[in-house]
Amino acid sequence: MIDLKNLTIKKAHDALVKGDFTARDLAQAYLDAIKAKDGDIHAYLEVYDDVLAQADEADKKIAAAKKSGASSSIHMLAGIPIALKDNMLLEGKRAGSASKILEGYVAPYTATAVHKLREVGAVFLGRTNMDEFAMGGSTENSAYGVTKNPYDLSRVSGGSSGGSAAAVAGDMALASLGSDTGGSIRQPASHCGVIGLKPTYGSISRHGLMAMGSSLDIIGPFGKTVTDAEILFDAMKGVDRYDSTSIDVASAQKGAKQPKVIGVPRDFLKGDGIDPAVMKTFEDAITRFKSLGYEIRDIELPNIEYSLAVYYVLMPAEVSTNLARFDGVKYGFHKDGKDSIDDYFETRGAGFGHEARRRIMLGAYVLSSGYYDAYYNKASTVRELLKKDFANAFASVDAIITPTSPSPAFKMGEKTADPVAMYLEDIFTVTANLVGVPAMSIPAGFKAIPGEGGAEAKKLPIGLQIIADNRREDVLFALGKKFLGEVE
Amino acid sequence: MITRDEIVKLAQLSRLKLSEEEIVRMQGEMSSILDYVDTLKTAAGAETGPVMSINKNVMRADENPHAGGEFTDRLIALAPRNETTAEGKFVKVKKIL
Repeated sequence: MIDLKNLTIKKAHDALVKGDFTARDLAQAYLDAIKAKDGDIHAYLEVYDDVLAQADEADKKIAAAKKSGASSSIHMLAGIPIALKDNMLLEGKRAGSASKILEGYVAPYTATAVHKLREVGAVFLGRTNMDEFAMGGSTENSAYGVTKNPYDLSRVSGGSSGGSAAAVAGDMALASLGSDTGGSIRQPASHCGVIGLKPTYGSISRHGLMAMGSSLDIIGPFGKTVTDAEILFDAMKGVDRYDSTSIDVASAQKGAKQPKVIGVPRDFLKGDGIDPAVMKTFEDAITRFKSLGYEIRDIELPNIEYSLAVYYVLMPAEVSTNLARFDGVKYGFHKDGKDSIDDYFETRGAGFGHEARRRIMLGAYVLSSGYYDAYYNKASTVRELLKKDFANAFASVDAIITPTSPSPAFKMGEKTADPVAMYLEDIFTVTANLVGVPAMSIPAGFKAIPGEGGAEAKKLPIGLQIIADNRREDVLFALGKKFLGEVE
Repeated sequence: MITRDEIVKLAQLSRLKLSEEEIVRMQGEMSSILDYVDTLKTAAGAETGPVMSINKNVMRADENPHAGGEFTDRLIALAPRNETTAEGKFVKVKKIL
């Protein structure tokens, strides 16, 4: 019996190399765990039918390397079972962004990030649930039902990458991939008590990732340790000829100095919408960093209060453009109308969920000629001001910390009637996407929920967000490991 | 407050069929989102003008293109309505003119 609860990529790798278990044993252990738990949690939309065959391939690679005396050449991810979010392509497999409009769609090629993992021998378990087209903070916008929080089945897992976060938190995958446009990796990581990394914009190719907001989207990993997230990031990063916005981050990190000063944007943390348990966890985190020898400095980010408003102009604008391609002609779902244009109305009306429809229309509104200057242009201008604010801040500090989310995981249905309340979930996370900088959520504490009316008491995870300057994921990894006491 | 007519017009532009019930819901929700977004009006820096020019042309030369037709079968097969005739493979749509 493999102890999945305490397993990390590094431990699994060592065991595979030593021969304590095979990649097939490991894959089977996860398939068993999925079978036992996922009926309740619903992290997966599909478990692939060739998982064991993939594991056998990995075992062959590992055995061949050992036979030729090259055990040290075995990649850290060879034989490691990983879950993919439903908006990334793996050739020959279904992919659908949890939307009805992509019903029947089979990926004709593989996303670059996924391809890189496959090349080193990773084993893909299946595709995970998400908010439709990554729009939402709870997976309640999925066309296929909500993913429940492994810590409390009456609560959401967060979103949009809720399935990927819950799969790792529930020991139904050793690690997973998500995508982050405004917090979709960090917020579910916070709610599920795992590590979630949103890398620097462009550091991982978006080729083969279904587009939501193209100037904001990025793929990133979920893991149980900072080291696991780092291993996955290193395997996926790099310039890609199929993504013109992809950049190199390795050169910026080479020989860079260790972080010493951490900034806290105090003015931004005074709102009454923040759960007291979240603030307590945050203050405790500051104390911990101080005791670890870091200097804490108050900083000002003068335009940060506008970031959520900027996001909810620019993101829908990009959504309305990106989702125009779903027309019922080229791929996916088709609903017949009375003539050609009516086919579009019928297909898009029935294929998209309510949230997707609302964001498409919001995008059309902010881009329309009468409102373009007041909304889109204004938001683009403030986005540039935000970039300047962060550049100024990073001139004096090495990292910035905030809570990841204003509250722990909420009850299913609690925020579905009020879109602005749901959007406020993203208040601390959207800025990193607007500015492009890397940010990571790490587990920092819990909120105790007393048992009421015979229900058992629960503990809900609370995350801490660390933000670093462009291309400086190394700062996030260094601080995260120190904070969590991970030994190098 | 966004008007009902505006919602109908936006749905038309976005090629979305909305039910009567959803038009009403959309009017309320979009109004509250736009009210929130309106805080942008108090932000400084509007006078700096459009920022489009910051983005550079990032198009690459199309080197080593793949062989013509290499992906045709796979891609045509994904179309919900497709047909192969003596003249070739087609995505099928309704008559437009």
